[in-house]
Amino acid sequence: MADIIGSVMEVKHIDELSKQKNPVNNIHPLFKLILTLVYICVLASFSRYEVIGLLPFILYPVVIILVCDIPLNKIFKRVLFIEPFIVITGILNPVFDKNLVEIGGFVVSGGWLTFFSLVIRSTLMVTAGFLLIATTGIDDIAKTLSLLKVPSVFVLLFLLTYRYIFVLMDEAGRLLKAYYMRAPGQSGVRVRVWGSMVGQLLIRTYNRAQTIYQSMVLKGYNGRYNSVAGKRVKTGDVVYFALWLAFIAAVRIYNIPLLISALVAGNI
Amino acid sequence: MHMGDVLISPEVGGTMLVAAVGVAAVSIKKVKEMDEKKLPLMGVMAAFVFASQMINFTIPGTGSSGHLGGGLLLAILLGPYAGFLSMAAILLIQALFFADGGYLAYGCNLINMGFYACFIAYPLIYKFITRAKMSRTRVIIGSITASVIGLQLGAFSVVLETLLSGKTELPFSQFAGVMQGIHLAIGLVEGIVTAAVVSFVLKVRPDIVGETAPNGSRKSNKTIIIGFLAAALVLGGIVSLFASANPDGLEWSVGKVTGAELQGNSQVHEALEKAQEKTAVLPDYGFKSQPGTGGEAAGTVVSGIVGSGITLGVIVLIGFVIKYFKRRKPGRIG
Repeated sequence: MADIIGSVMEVKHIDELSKQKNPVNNIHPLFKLILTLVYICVLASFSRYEVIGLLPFILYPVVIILVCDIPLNKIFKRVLFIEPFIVITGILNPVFDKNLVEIGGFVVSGGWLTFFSLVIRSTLMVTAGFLLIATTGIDDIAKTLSLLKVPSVFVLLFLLTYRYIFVLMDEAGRLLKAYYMRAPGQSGVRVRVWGSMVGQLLIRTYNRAQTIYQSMVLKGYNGRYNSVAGKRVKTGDVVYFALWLAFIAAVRIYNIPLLISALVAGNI
Repeated sequence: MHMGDVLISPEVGGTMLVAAVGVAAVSIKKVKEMDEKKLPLMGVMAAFVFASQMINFTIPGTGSSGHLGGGLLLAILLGPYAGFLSMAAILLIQALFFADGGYLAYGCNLINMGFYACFIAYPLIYKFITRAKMSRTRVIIGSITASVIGLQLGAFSVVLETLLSGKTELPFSQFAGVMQGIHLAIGLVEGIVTAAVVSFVLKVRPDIVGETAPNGSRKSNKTIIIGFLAAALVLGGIVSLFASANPDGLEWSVGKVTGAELQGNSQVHEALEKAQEKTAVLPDYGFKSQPGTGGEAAGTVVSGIVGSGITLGVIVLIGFVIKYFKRRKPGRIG
């Protein structure tokens, strides 16, 4: 229970990070969203055996983390959250894939290559996703969704859900506190009260929804989501976008570490 | 059941995203036709599912505990279309803020956790069982059966999507066996919790669960089934498309299961690797035109490590440069 409350607080903290003043936070959110998706897709498009070619991609998170002062421990937490699953699905690769892959003369088990490739990729992908949120924030994400012609029903639903997660977590937290105070030393909720406990929360939620609807109507809600005009596209946004895109394209097409090796070897 | 981006190929992720967006578009159209009152209810109910996931239920007879997934419950409370959209909002927030499920895998997750629960488990199983009478027994049987079947379908989709993406070596039969087994247990717990909640609400506030019951008149039930059939056709078409367009992934998974074709397949991979290397590295800098490295093979490995080291070194250097400039201009950037 404490974990979940902790992670909700974490989410609030992420939203605050996105309100800081720095160059990346000022970039138009649409560009950041597209860039993140391109980054993830390009990483996913590499062959299963690629390890060395993935290394230049580390530059993107490093630059954003440093420019935006993103606390590293937050990223570690997220990566650690996802990594056990990746390790479980990937650790068997060396067992199943006994194919020997020849990399420039050295014979490596293909399974280990795919395993390392998976771990590097998942770390980069999760970090990129986190950095999008940490530099953009929920309101800008919602505006970008409207820009992308996502129907306003869904955008409003997304925002409402986000807002009420905190309220209802609080409510559920109080409910649980009351239960555990009367049932000390118990690890979970007993089967007999499953229905009534969640059911109570549900009925309270339902009543709350009606109150919310009434107050929305009083404030002029007519079934539509009117977003405030978003940020305007500046030259800097386009330059930022184009530069990263060029970087991603370059490191996708050319295996930079191998190129550097060839250059170094050539010069010696 | 949340899939991350790393196990998904862009082809599989993209196709599933298109399918999910299609289902969402139909749902949005249907929800717009309903009364506007429903929107706040959908948002708050989606938040409710988040909140209820905090509650750990001790499973009797075992030491373990489980929590609610919510797809079926949302469908029961809001109906399939609104339920699916609420699930879409939940999954989007989970992907963005909790790293629970990836961006590229969003379509997969929405189909696996939203579509099966809202458009198959709910209308075809839960509604069918509770059709005649909303009694406690029927609610219990309906919820458990529906949630087990919904989760089984979802788990099987995860297996298919992972194997079609070809990012891991897991053999089909073992992977499917483990996934279906785990999700049988999860489905049972989910079903029992859903049943307990719905039957409690049915007793205390029958209008909440009853409200969706008249909605499901025969006519709308028919459209749901037709919609489901259409979606199944589309999905089937997509899968067969993959079978022809991406023989590598499928051949590979089939080869894994039968134990045959292992050799041939790795050759395909190696050939692809080589082809990629040829296109990737400029011919002038290629390994062949390196007169300096006598033992070419060993030389390239060493220099491969050198290259990687330099790449990482440059990244670290750029990091220091950024830090240096930030310290110099704290007012502007920091």
